[in-house]
Amino acid sequence: MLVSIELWARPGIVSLPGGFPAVIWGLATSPTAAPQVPGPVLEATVGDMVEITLHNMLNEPVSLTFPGQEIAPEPVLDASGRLVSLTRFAAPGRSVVYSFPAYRPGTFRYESGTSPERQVQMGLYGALIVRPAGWDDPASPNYYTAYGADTGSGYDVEAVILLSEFDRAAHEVIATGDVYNPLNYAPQYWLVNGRPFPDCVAPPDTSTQPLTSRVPVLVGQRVLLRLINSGFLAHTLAFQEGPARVVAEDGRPRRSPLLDATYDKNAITLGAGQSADLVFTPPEGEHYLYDRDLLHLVNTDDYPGGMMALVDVRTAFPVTPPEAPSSLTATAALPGQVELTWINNAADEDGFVLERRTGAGPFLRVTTLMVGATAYTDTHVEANTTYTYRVLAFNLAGTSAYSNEAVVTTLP
Amino acid sequence: MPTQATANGSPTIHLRAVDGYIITPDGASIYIWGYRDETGRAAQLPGPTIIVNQGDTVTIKLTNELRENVSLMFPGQNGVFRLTNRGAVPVGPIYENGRLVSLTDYVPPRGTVIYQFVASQPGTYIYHSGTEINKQVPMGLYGVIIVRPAGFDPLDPATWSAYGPETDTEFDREYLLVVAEIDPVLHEAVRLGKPYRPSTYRPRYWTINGRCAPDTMLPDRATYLPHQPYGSMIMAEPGERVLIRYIGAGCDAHPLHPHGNHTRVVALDGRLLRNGTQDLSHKHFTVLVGPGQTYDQIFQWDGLGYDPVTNPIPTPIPNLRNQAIGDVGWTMWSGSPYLGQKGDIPIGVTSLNVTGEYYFMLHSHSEPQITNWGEFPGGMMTMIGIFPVGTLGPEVGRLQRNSRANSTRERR
Ligand SMILES: [Cu+2]
Repeated sequence: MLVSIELWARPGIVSLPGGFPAVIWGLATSPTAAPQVPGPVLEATVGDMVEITLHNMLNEPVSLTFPGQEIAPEPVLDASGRLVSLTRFAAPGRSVVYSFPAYRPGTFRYESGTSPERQVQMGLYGALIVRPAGWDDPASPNYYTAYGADTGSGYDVEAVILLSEFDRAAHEVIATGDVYNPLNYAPQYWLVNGRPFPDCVAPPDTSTQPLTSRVPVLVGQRVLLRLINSGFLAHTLAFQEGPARVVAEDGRPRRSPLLDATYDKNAITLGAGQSADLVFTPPEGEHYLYDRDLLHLVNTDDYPGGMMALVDVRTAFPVTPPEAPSSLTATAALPGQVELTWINNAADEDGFVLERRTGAGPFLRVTTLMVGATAYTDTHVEANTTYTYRVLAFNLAGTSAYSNEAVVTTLP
Repeated sequence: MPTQATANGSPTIHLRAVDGYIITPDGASIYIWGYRDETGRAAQLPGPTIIVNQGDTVTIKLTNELRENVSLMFPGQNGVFRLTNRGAVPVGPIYENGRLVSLTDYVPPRGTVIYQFVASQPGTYIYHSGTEINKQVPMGLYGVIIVRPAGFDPLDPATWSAYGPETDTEFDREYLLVVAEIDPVLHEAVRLGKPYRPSTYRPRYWTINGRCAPDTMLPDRATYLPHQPYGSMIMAEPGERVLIRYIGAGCDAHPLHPHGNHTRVVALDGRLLRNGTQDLSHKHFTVLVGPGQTYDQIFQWDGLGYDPVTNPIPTPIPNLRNQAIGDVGWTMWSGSPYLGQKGDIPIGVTSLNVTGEYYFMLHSHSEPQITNWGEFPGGMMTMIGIFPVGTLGPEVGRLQRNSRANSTRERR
């Protein structure tokens, strides 16, 4: 089967904790859709021919590489013989097509092959999942396996857990077209699936950061975690309720008819560009996966934050979204902060997403709050500025409508 | 005698979270938070080693003598409960006002919390605080749990193994090496109650069992290191099987190796590297000890077979510079290349060699880490001493739960 995927590389804005916007370059699924960080999860089945068309809406050449796939890179040199791209690129306003056969199952990445030290940081990366033939056929021995029958990779629930970092200063420099020195790379945010904690446990949405890292699981289900490090640094993810079985590394299963080399880990270190597939059956409860470099559990030095994901194991899932919060009030009683309160009308919410906009700008997520929250103090505000706030409740069935909007002007 | 929590299979350990000071070889005194047991007065680094038996129901009481909430996490143990008046409740993340305040059930200042779990699997595990972990764990709130396999009898060397019979993990002596880093700026900020920015984290000390070299080579419970009771000098005789447990308790990965030798990694994160009859253990020269991870190894030194009579080798005297340690010209060298023999030592050098034993170093090969605040030698370094057959007593290389009162050395 031919799998045709079209991607548009476009600039966009992500929302960082505190309600700060930052420019990204992401991949959109249409010329008008939000560019996504990370890019869409690309999926194919062994035997497919994958054809990816990349449309470049940026001001510089862009390309994609597919490490681990049967596609020969075609490095591009300029007239002086200098390497300008690791593979064929699309000039601004143009398109480029890559095609390769999905010849073996696995958890893979894709990323920019043109100035990757800049473009990957800007957001041009994502996950590529190749499934074994028959994975969706109940009659097949490969049914719901990551690597086929007898590889120990059977699962009921799967989740991509894609790690990366975010350096706001780098984004500012690169977005303005200034010269960027990669030696100055110093991330302030540590992301899972494009969001840091606590926003990473909010529901999926249609924003530039559409992916959640809350993994809903029913008791007894086998969970396949596809861990991918798309950042520039090594990261260690620790399991609050482990261990989990490592069934594959870098898209290669660790079990063959001759040798079962799968093994258990309670924390796993992935170097930049590495992936690992882990399977486990967690008990009921909320179990975090957390960056074991504990100093990274922050958002610009505010704890808790950073690289976390949540395996959320229950006996049943809610079937209706929660009631919307109401009576949102915003008060600027002290300089440098806004006090927010609201009434929680839900009995079954998992949390709340608080958003604000500055003047007539777009709404950006300030933070995500967990179950039962009815107040928040926003300390990341400018003086003499008018902000509009709104809040919604969410659970695993979806999100509520927004509350009323509350407008406040901060003190001098 | 080693202190085992044996008896009825339901050991109770009472830990207190307290503060205290450690000292470094360059004369610094560093404020820490740590755990102590009934016998200590102040925090120790690392916390008391908890040794239990497979199948034990382990009860750990934690009394909080710090000024903020604190807790215990047991990564790799499943089914951890908190005992309350209403019975046992599973531990889990704690949210207050919608904010994650602890990864697990915590205890406020002056309170006591009781955790309980069944130590179902043998192996090497870490314990650490689950509250404000980006600060509390680097401050020193970590320690080790060793679970003995079923059938282990501390009085019967024939039963000594890390993972039970038929696992090829039998040992004659065992050693525990917990590695971590210290940024004294963090510790001083906490002591003074001042803010600390995690992004400025910059370790200046690298520790094995809470000590920096050369203190690492001092004996267990050295009286002049009252809050760093565990040495890390590895001593064995030729042919003996030595179990070395590496534990990454810090935030960074550390590449450890014993010079000129390999270790055989037999288990990771408390799980044996073996699937049925397939032995996945493997030899490594350098083991990258990742944060939050444990590595059990069997090490054997079999000697090179040199003998001054039957198999002599040329024996040039090493350059003076290569034998002396420190300004005063101490050496650990015997003066002879033959195990069990001593030779002439150059004028001006004092040999601390006891009985013709042979020393080589074990250290982090990230070599800035074998300094104390930049000054070589120091940091994450210790020695392995190979002693002539029949010269090491049975008390050497016996792991003990910390109890200063149990210290045979102190009693004498
Ligand atoms: Cu070395």
